[in-house]
Amino acid sequence: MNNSVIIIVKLKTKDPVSESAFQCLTGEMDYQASLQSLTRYDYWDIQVSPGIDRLELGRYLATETKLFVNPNKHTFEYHLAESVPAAMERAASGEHIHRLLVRDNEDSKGTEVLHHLHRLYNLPDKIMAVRSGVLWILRIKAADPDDAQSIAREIAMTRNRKSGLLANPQSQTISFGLTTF
Amino acid sequence: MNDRMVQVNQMRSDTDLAAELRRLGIGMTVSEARKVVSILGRDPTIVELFIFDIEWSEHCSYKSSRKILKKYFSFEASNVVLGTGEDAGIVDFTSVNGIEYAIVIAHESHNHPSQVLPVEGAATGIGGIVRDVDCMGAHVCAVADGLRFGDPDGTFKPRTRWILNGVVDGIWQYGNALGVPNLAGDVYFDSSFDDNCLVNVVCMGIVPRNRIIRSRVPEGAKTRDFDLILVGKPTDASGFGGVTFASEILDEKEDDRTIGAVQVHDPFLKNILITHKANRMVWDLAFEKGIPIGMKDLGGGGLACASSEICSAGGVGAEIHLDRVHTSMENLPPEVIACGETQERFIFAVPPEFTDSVLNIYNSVWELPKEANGACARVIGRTLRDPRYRLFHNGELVCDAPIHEITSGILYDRESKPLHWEGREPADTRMDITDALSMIMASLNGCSRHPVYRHYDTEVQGCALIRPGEADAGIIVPLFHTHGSRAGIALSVDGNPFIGEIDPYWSGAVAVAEAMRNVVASGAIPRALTDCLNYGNPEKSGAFWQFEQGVRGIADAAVKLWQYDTDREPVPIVSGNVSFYNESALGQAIKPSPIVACAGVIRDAGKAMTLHLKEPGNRIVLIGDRRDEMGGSAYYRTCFKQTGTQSVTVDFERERKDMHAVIALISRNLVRSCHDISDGGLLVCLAEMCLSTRNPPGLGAKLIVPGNITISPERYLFTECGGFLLEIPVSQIELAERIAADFDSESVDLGEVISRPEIHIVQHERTLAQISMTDIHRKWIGILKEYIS
Amino acid sequence: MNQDIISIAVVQYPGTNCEFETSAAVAAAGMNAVVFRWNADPGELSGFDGYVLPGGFSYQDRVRAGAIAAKKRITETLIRQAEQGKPILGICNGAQILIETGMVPGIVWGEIQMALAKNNTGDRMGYHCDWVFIRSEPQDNPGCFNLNCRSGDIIPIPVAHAEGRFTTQSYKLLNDLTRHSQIGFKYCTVSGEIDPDFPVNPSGSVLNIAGLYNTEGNVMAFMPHPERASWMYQVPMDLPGIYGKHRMESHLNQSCFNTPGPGLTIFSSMKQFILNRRKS
Repeated sequence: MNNSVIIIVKLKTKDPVSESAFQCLTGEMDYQASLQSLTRYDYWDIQVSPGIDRLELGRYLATETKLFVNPNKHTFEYHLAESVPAAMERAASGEHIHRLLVRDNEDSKGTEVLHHLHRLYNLPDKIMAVRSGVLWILRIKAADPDDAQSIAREIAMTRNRKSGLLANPQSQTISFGLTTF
Repeated sequence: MNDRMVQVNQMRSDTDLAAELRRLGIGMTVSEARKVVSILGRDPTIVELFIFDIEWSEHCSYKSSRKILKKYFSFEASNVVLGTGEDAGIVDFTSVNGIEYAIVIAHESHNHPSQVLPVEGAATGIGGIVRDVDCMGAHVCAVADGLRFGDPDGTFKPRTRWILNGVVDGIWQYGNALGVPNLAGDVYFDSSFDDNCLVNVVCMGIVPRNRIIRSRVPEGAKTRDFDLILVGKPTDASGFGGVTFASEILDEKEDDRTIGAVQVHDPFLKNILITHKANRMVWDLAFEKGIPIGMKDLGGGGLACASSEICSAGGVGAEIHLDRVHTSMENLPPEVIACGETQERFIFAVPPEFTDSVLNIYNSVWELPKEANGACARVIGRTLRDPRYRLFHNGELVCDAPIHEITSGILYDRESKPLHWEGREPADTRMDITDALSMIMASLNGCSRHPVYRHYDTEVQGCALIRPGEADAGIIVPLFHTHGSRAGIALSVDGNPFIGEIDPYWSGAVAVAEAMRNVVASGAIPRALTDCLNYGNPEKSGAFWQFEQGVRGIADAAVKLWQYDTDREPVPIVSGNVSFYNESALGQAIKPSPIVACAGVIRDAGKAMTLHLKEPGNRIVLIGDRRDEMGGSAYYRTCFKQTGTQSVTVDFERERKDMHAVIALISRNLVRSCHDISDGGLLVCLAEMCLSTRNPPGLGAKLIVPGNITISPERYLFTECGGFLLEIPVSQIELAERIAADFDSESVDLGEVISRPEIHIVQHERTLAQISMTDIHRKWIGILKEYIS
Repeated sequence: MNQDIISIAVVQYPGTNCEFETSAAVAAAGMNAVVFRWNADPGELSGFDGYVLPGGFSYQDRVRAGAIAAKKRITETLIRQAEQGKPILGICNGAQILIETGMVPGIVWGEIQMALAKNNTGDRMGYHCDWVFIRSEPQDNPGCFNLNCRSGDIIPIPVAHAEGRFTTQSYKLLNDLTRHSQIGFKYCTVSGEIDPDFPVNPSGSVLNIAGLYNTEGNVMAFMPHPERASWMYQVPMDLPGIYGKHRMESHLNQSCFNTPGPGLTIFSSMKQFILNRRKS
């Protein structure tokens, strides 16, 4: 969305979800050679009314409401939707970073947060929509970028027991790469 | 032991020393730090200072409360298997197939953490209390919670709702995943909890009497060294400083300072450890082989607290190598490894020949390292016959102290001075009865709790017979599946927060009476009590007086409302917790809040009562005096915005006789439904009997207010003195009255169940009110939904 | 194997939490239940007559409920047993696992064609625990867990989950499910009407699906908890409908522990199915 501010939130502590997913992909499935690391972020896409200072609103939402970030357990950053920085992880040589965003088709979490923002924080005229999502960052070892990309796609899209884990395409949508966000 | 010593001795100036302690993040006072020096005979290491700081915290040592608790709670009862002192208390339950089963119960608070991190705070609250019960060798079969939140429409509306929703989420996310049913609880809202929510948690389990695991190193360790095994999650920096945090006044601006105090929960790992899994495998093997073991959970104060206490209780010392502790962070300082409060950990003391079996169960059979993010079991040290507590880190001795000095704590005499209550009576207390009832049933403190408890798994384990909302107490039959036993355990949690300001003594006594009444109304016999005493700053004489009065009230009620069918044996208080410093940075303390849980036993749970009316034509019978005690009542608070001056009291003699009569009536199958009278009084009690969350209202009641009462009908209907309403078939009325009279109790026939969903109130054949339950139902069921979202 | 004894493996993944009461319900239906740990020898698993994947939180629902458990090696063995026609019942988290293995709906066997997504209750998101009603659906060839039900039977039963909404991206698939009569049970009102809204449909499940079969009718993903409704004492007294009345009668005549509850039919159907299989 072009009139959105993005809040990206990460746990300060170890993330058991990404650890278990990584263990499953490399221990139970066949990605031990390719998948080097897996990191998970909460990804909030907040669509703002025209004319609002999006960054200022992003700061307010992240620091003044308790709906996105708890400073005791989270670190966060916020960006204009069109300028989310590309690299949040570093790749060694022969490695490729792939980012993918998984969203529920029926986003009850986003709806709930929107409801709170409107009712508790009196922001109905500023915020049009909230979409929640999970941003996964995969560090993949592969011969070339195309290869890495197809592995990332495979890991994301669950087709059967052998193939894919991070999203069930029957109830979730996956966006690959930055531009499609 | 040089480079990390704290030069307490050299600091002559108390100001300098105080500043140094603050700099190190140590909460103890200057005089306490000097006391450490006199115990050790030298300057302490940083590790030692942290350990004493924790052991001498209010949370671990009960330094302000212990004398008072000892003074009033020293009574005994013959059904107690294990009283206070270990992780949980134990009382008799039932005997089945030659095995004597006991009930294990524990009660804790997790108030401060829940205010800052509602989800994690509430979740680790459940997690901690569950460990307390599990480590006694018990099968954990129920949890319950007493929750107090600020005003969700008040000054801190967004924060209060965030806390409310977070706490509810924390409870379900943890308890449901663990697989322990949530059986009971209560929820109140009041602005005095704006800055200090209360999250009290109760956990109950069962254990065969001859299979109790003690929180102490077994006797055998006096002649040879036992291994100390740490089991569970890898240690990290989470929860470091948590205990000191729990004993301090919250300043929300310092959120960041409390980062270390965040405890990260992992119900997944806990599920693998408890609920008939890995821990049980260890116990079963130990009993099968006749091997003595000791076990304790790591709670407040982490490894240092648990290891010193388990060894000290066994009369031995300990030698622990902190570098052998499995960690998930690099280069953790020794004081963090020793005192951090990483969740989901236990410590075992076992004879060395059993060690491999224990390690195998956790590391291979249950594959903790692989399946549970690096959790495992590891030998971290051994017991010492020399009663010293020694910690090593990378070969260096970082703590060396007499173990009893560490665990015996310190004591304070706190000043106690009565506070005068400045409450007022409403100028005019008349109001239309229909309006008053509607207002109360649609108030935040009077409406249905279904929007909260629908998130809790109330049925996992398949043993729930009465769930929240169906009766005054929850009932489970935990031995039915394994032994076919119909014996049930009832559990209730109660504590009206609106009495404490008016009269802290009665708030304690009433909490006990209400918790017991709840159990009685469900058809069970009260057999044990636990308490969590939530008060303000004990260094303030008024708050300490409130605490002392609360304890006195609880003790009096426990003794004077003695156990049914015993020779005046008190209902024992087998577990408890004190939570002080529930005060905001501005010095605003919470309303004094003793929260009491009662466990009851029902021999045949098939006779358990629900509170819903069953059949038109049945009589409605009142047992219990209606006195003019409106202070703190929902009627005053909701309809007149006043607290009043005369607190509800307990007429111990009358209350006990009434309870015993109701127990007898239910056990003889004379009663069809039963509900205790408490918040809102008689009329609210009756209205609740007409309302179900599963059914639109169908039945109602004709209520005849006796003509000879000495107080106004409104007061009669809304005073919150204890009592019961019972639904009794006409054919049984005479017998019921006779039985009540046998107990020297009085029953009053108040009317009948009718087939219309309304309450028709009559006095002297004149209608006082005709109230549609359909209207009330809509409000009653809908209000809280607005806040839980 | 003794011809009179029916043995059921109740599969325990890390995080499973309903294995013991589920075993008790299996036993109450007259079968032998053995709790089978996920990492035990898979070879031993093939000796059982049928399988139950009980409720709980395998792997804490990390990534998605059932997603990680579906990848475990033991699941491979279960798929082979299903292919032989043995019955497999997935309850709640077990149902989530079955969906994630592609055994249900299994129109293309092993391919994931549906999801059990987060509840959409039009209310507060998250976990919901309460009693609901389900209706046994008409089937040309009744699935193995419907055998002892008549079409249209109304069964009160508890649900307790946060991710129980059957959903798919394919409209064609929904037609296929009906065409193959793969829907075993639907959420309904106390009188049997299909109302798509909360709380009658507690998760917002498509077509009100509560229980869904593979095409062969021997594997069912079932969101409600039959083991929590297998004895009359488990039934709430204020439940509307005939079972509420039965429950109150059982209180009066003290029979609530000896009377089967409405959910036991799922397990007794399983037994019937296994007996029928042996005969044929």
